[in-house]
Amino acid sequence: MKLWPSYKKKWNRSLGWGLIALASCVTPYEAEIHDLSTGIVVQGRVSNLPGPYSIKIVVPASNAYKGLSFGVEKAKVYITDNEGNREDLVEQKEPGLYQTTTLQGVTGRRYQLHIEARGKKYESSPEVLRSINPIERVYDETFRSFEPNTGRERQGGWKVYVDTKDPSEPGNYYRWNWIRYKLTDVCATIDVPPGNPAFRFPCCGYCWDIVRCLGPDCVSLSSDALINGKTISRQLITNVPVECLDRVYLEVEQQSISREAYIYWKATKQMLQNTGGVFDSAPTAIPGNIRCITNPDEQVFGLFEVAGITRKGHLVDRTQAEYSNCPPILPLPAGGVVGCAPCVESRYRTAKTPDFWEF
Amino acid sequence: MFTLRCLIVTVLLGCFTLKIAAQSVQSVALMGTVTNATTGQPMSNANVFVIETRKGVQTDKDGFYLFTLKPGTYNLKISYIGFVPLYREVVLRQGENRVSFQLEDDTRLLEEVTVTTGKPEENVQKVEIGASRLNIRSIQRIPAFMGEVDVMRSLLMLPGVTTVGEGTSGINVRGGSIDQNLILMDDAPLFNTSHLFGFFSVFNQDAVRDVTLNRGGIPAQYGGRAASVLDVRLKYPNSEKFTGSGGIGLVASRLALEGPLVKGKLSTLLAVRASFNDFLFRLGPASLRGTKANFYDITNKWYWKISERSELTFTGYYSDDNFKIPSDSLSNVEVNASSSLYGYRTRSGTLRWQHTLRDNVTWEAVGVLSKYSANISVPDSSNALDLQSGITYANARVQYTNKSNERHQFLMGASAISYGIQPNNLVPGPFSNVLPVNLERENAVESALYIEDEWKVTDLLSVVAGLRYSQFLRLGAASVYRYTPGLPRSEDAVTEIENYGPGEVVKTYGGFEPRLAVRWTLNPATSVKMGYNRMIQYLHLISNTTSALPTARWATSSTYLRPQVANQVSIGLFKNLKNDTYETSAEVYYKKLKDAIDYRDGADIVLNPTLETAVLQGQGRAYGLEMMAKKNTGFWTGWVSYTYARTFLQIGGDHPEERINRGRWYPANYDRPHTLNAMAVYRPSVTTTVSFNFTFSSGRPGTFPKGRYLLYEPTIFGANVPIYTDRNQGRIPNYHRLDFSITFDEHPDKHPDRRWKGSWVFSIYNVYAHKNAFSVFYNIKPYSLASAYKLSIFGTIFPSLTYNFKF
Repeated sequence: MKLWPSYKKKWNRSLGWGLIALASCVTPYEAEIHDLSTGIVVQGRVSNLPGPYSIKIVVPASNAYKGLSFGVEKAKVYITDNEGNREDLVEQKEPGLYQTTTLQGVTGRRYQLHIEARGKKYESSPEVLRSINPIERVYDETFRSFEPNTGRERQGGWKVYVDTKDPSEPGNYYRWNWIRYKLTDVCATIDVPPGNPAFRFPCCGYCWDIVRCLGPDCVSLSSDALINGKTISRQLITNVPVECLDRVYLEVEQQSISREAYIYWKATKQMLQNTGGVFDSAPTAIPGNIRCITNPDEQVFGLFEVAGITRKGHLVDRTQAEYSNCPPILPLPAGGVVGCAPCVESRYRTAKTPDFWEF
Repeated sequence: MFTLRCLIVTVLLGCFTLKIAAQSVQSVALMGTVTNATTGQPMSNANVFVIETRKGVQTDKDGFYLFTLKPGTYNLKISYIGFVPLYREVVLRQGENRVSFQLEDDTRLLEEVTVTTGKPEENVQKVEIGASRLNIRSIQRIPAFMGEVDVMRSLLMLPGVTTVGEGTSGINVRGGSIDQNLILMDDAPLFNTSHLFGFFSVFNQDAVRDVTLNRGGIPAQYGGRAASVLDVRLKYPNSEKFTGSGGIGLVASRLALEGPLVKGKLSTLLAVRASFNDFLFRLGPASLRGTKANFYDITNKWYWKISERSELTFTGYYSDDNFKIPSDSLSNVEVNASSSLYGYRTRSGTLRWQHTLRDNVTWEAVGVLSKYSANISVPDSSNALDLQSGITYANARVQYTNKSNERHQFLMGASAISYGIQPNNLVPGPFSNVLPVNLERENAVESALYIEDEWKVTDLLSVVAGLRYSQFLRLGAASVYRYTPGLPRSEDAVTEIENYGPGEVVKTYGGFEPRLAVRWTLNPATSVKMGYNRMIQYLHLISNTTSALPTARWATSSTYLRPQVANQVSIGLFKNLKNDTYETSAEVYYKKLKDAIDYRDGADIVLNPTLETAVLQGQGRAYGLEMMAKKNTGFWTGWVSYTYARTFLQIGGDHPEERINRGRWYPANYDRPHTLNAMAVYRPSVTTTVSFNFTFSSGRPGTFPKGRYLLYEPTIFGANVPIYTDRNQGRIPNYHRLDFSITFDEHPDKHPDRRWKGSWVFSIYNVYAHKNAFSVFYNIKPYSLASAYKLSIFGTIFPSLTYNFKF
């Protein structure tokens, strides 16, 4: 059986506002605060790419802005496969984070996650690591948009698209991600007064800033239900704005996911994009693939994902942009260079050359 | 008394005043008849109006009227539609005063000039319960949003009628979903009653005569929907002379022409309305500048008087909406698009023949053909597609009515309906990668026999008893999916597909639908009424959005989708006060709904060949109290209504996946416990009418998150995913709004010879600019300090100006 998917794109939110877009408005609302008394959230992934793979287990936060989510510590977490292998995950410093040490995902195998935490046992349904076909083409096209202050049309940036060939059998589900790497020469700053960077320290070697997708529009999904066997074309990955006249390096990731994962991501996307509009689907519980064995009534949120992943690099050439909107580079301290700062590995910065980087 | 007589003799003036004072204790009677000056026939329902007291009465069927007034001099206005109003000064003395009037035909002035808004005595005397009739004149007085007189929106002022929010299509009547209302326009059903996705209704004010909403005690000739019947009747074209009317408004402009082709024999009415509002988008934010939204509708009615005893009418209706959204798709179809076009169309034709055998005995035959179609298209060449859906409806009905017997007024009839539904047909463009999908067409027949008798048991007790038997056949060609027994119904549990040939009966449903209404008159101004009805609904609208999209899917009952059955009892007290100046009523109802429909969490409806996996059925119950007080005459007229109403659903399937809220009762989307509506019309002179409209209702239920978690995904930063558990457990803020409108008409005597009569309507919607919540949603963004937001659709004041004309 095929799944006939439907999801709404971001423009759905404007429908219904249409004619009276000027009049409809969104205002903050003081809402009732709830606290979930039970339940944990499990998120993590095993793929065909090299590990370590991470599993994050948390207790959900309240729905208030200030609500806090706590990591579940001292849990016993292990992953098994259909060939009888088992690997125990190691608890990390970050509360609720567990990582594999040697596990390497193999296409075609089934993986299952097991958790023993807070006196209860949880397990995921076994998930097969699906094969992934390569990305056929990544390309970009410039687009025009209105400048909000003047109302004039001008170059708005570039849209990055993917074309990919779908295999002939039905039931393939895809998710796409991107990460941008930006070579930087600011590894530290001198702040005068504190909190106000005035001078930069150059990096001691190559160093890249990592830019990730932010906010609710980061989930791109597709299924082959309507395309099966042909090319999924013009899948929008991201918009690159007009900034400096340079080349933007992107890594585009294509994942082959299960139907359950597709439904999970689709619902997540809907929940993230929910704007209460006239034609929004009503919010629903997001179905996952993990359940509590000791107490079947306990709700478990999140997803243990097993995905086939392929990556491709892409350069967006901004050197010919109509105008430049480049943030100023901090000057070096007066009196010349006095040294350099090391590139500290973090979620936002790395010294490791990106896979498809060409010097 | 001696002093008094003394004064009479001495001071003449003082004498006069005191004489009146002395006699004021007693009222005297003014009575007489109103007759047609040409024929001499008595005229029933003519209005006799006392200008000084702003009181009016209507003549009875013998043309007789009766007033009680204090003695004195009065100015009377005697009027009737189509007759020259008569102004007469009358001096009332002690005892009986008999004054009779004769009215002359006036083909020049066909306008209704009475102050009365309806027939007030019907409130008490009619047997039917839960029925409201609004004529187009009273609808036009309700302040309109953006100046567009809106039949559907005006119904929201009636007790027991609600909506999920502003700008949505459809109404919810006594706890029914929007598809549970049978909406008929001259016998043709409408499957979508709104233009622009729900902002305006499809009825053209120039063509509509009146609107009747039946929400309790539904007559036996209507069936096929579980909650209510909205019967919109169009005007008969003027068979004597050519006239026209129209208007120029902010959103749409209209023109209607009517007149005879063969005088007194054959006449026609053509009413057209079209929107010209694209310019509004150009004033909007940049992202909306490519938006296009247009609609038009054409109403055409023909009347042919074949003979004195038989007539034939034809009503044709066409409505078309087009909406283009720039930059990206809002479609439910999974392809990548740079823009998408929505279109939907209604076309219908009704042929009605009526033959009068002898007085009060008539035969009626009606044939209806109607087609509703909707499509979404995406123009991008590699992903070009056109997703079509539609419903074709054909109905033949005959009815025999015999009202010749004083005690029994009787009718019977038979009806047969054929449905052809095309759920979804996806047609790729010529160079498109998209695969074609054509979901199987659904064919079904719904036939019914009905009989009804209005029995005047005694002078005080009347009964309308009706019985309807309906039968539904789902016909092939059809593929019926069989599912593994003991497993929740899902696409994975399909074991085999059973095929039925064309015309083969796939599934049969049917049943008796008893209808009963009883009226017991306590006194001429008070009655108690009771109603019971059962309604079976075989056609369903399946939607999981807050407001149904025009492309939402209609489905007939099938092997898995059972018909919805509603049983309703209601009882009410009806009382008129002060000589029919005030009408009051109070009704309570209780309704049980079997096989109520709700959608499954996260289910896909569009392009789903196994719809039964997306739909859940359970039970519903609704109950409420509706109170209304109405003032019919005077400078001020209007009404106030209060409704307490609750609606709950329970979907408790065999498997946890097939339950909603773990099988517990939960409030329906449109459950609004308290509603207060007030409408006031002030008419200080013939040229000015001022209307106010206030509405308050409890907020509708909403689904709010119980918690949230941060998405753990290496490429996505700072996305908070809300956790939802149970449906409809919260409530959005209460709704209230005040509207105002003022109408300036030309004085009828200013240019009596000029045919062109213009009027200006200035209206303000949402006078105090209250930001009413349409919804409350949760969205934690890294750059905002709030977790919940309120979306207001019409969150500001909307003034508008409309020019209407007649010639």
